[in-house]
Amino acid sequence: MTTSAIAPLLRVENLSVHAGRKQLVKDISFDIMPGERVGLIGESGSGKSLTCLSVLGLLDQGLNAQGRVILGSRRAAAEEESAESQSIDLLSADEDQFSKIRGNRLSMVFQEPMTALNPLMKVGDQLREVIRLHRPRTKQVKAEVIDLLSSVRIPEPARASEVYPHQMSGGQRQRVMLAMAMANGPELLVADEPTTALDVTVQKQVLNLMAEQVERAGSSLLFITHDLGVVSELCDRVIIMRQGRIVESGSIDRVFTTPEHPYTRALLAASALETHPSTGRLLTLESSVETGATALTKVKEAASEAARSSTGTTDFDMPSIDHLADSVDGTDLVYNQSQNPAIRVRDLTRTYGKPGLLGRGRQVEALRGVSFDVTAGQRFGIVGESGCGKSTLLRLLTALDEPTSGYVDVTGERISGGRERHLRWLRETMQIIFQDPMGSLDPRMKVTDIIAEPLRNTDRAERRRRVHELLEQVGLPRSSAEKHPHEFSGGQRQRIAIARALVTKPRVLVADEAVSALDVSVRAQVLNLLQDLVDEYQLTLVFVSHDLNVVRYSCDVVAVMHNGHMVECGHSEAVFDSPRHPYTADLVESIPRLRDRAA
Amino acid sequence: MLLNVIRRLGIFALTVLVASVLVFFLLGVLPGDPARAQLGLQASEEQVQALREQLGVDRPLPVRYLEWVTGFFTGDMGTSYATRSPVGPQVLDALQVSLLLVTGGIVVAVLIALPLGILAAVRHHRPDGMVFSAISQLGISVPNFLAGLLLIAVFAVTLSWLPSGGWAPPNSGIDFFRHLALPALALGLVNGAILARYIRAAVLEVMREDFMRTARAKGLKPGAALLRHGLRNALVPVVTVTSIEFANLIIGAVVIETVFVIPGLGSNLIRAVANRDLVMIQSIVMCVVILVLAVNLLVDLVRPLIDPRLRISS
Repeated sequence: MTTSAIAPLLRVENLSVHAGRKQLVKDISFDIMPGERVGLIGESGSGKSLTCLSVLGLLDQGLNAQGRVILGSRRAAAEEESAESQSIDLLSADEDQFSKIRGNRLSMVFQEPMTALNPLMKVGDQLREVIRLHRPRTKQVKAEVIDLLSSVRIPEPARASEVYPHQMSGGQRQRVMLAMAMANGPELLVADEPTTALDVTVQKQVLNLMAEQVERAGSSLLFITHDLGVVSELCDRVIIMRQGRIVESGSIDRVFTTPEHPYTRALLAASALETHPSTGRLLTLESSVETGATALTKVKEAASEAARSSTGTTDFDMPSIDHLADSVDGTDLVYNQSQNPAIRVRDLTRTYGKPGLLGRGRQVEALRGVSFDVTAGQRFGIVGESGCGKSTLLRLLTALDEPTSGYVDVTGERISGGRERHLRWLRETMQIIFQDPMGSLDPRMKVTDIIAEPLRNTDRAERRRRVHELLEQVGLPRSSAEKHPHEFSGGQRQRIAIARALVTKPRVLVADEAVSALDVSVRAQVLNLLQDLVDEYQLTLVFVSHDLNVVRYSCDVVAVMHNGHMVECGHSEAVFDSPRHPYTADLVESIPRLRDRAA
Repeated sequence: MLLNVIRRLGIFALTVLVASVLVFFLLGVLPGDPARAQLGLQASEEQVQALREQLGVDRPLPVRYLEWVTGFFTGDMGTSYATRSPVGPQVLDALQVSLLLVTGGIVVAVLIALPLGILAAVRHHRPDGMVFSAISQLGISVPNFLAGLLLIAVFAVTLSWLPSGGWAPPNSGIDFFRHLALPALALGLVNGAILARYIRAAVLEVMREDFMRTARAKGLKPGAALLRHGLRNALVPVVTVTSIEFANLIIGAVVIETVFVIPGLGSNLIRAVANRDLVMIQSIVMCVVILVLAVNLLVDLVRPLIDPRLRISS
């Protein structure tokens, strides 16, 4: 072994990123050794993406990086003493130097596979470009492109190279991105939340593929994410960032089992959806930090103990719930049958598109016959991956769309089609919280008007009183009433959305991926709030999510959807612990687990 | 794909038909009697009536519509009320002149707008980028007849490089271009400035796209990334805007033809309006309508060639 073998591949020294006078990344330093896989973890605003963009020299205009980012000399440097193979400070590199390094020695996979590929260029041509760019003398580029596509397990690689990105699914596009990044055998692959936008089963495939590719090329990996579970399956070492600083770093086993920094501990607790031993509430950043360093391990032990013992017991007596799974497609079961349903759904189908002339029309069966009940006061979770029909089901439940056949009863009344004025009763009994707190609130309305808008025939004083009461209940100061949505953070906006939903005193609350866009620590707070309000208002909760852990924590009963069918339904614990349908088993298997590695 | 082309053609034909009804009846109900207009206020009621019968304007509107519309599409557009000569050849000659002028205008506009818009976008955060933006802003606020007059003042009157007006047919070679230059420039300058704004916006938008960052991450330099990945994407909205601009350009041509004394559709239209020459007006307006619709059709057919997402998969 020579000294160059131990020298780090990438050395970040005192890196700071400024936007004007504001310092976003504060003087951080870390090394990545050749072949090492490092996870960079942090919540939104922690500076993790800025750090990786500075490494690649792709910071937006107006952002300014200082410090040193040294890319070590090439492994084969001893043989050819060309300028490119010398170690180089990337922060002072010019475009000429970078154009030789990016896509060649350093490459990157981005978060959003839907927009990261050029929509007007064939997939094969986009791959060909990156090969031609760095190895212009390559012969048989076409064959190499097809090899690359098959190495990331794209079916029919020859045909796939001739299609455009929009003809591929999100998971396939991310594989193409990976193939593109690995095309020239980079020394370092930087992946910025590469699987956040993907379904869990696809996420697992892409992660496995990434590990395999990095292994084969002998590359190092810098993996940026907010999801601790994902990191624990992929990385050797983790760096935890918060507010522009590194708070902790070390081997993944050490950090995940004996975290030193309170923030790391809190983050771990919040990601695992750990609950407080005495109150049964989710541990949030504040509560975990409050409990103090020494007490926390005890708290956590107790928490897991409590979680185990509390399994299956709920606040009020629930009649026994049948755990049913769809065995043969075609016979549609009635799930979670109840004598006293808040929501009753029978044989619900929804088909989009029309049969065209000569049978050329395209029809999509989004929902293929779904029957279930939701008992009054129950917390009913619906999980499934994109395209499973959960969004369609939700639109039908909330009368935002009309079923092709079948019906929905809410509190005993049938949702009968169409006219909004016939649905006023429904709008009052049932309210929705949407996924994106940034988009679901009118940016030009004051918070007080947003919350009070559904109130009719009430005078000003009464409206004021209700708004203030609700703001207090969702944990926001009264002064929020006069502000506009942009003045709040994502978590606070979701609180506003919850207040808005509760103003009509609904009996059924539908939460559509209501915490999916939030950071883990904020997620715990909002979930706690939601549980409190469900108890206080005695709401029936329909909770739709792709995040199985969240559903498991927050629901009594969970239904799994797949291909427009409901395939399994039962007690949350029962479904997750002993899934009966193969698809559910697959789904549960794919959840990235925090503890597996540590254990 | 073929089915889509046929569908678009069908829609085009239908739109033309509806447009012809609108053009005919809307212009038909306008006040002003062509016979009275020609004979003057001194003429007796009998004389006017006789001329009405001779022109055929005494018959009911639907009959006249059918006659006009079949005539229009077979090339026989009827006889001018004013000059008593066939309208067809006059309109077709004028159409050819106007088409050449408008094409010249578009070429000038695109030649100005492409570099100006792209430079303004690429350098938007620098002082020179703002200068490019300011130039196009200024260009938008200048009416095209004023631009025409200024061009005449400089290049025809002061420098005597180019003729101040008139027209030479395309087969006259260099003379054709000498006559075309100033009016095409006057037309294209203003519309080029407008188009430049759209191109600037489109390029700015494209530069923020994720795939541009991917292109950079592949190792393309900023210029190459813009050239290979950005411009074609920016072209999609720009092509649509250009087709709308085309309609503007035709309207602009009406004024420019008058300023430069060019025998195109515009100057014929103004003369026909002054003469209450209804047949002439209807035919010219119909030509303009078809022209605009045809350009829109062309753009609809071209867009899927640029953007594969618009191709209807079969």
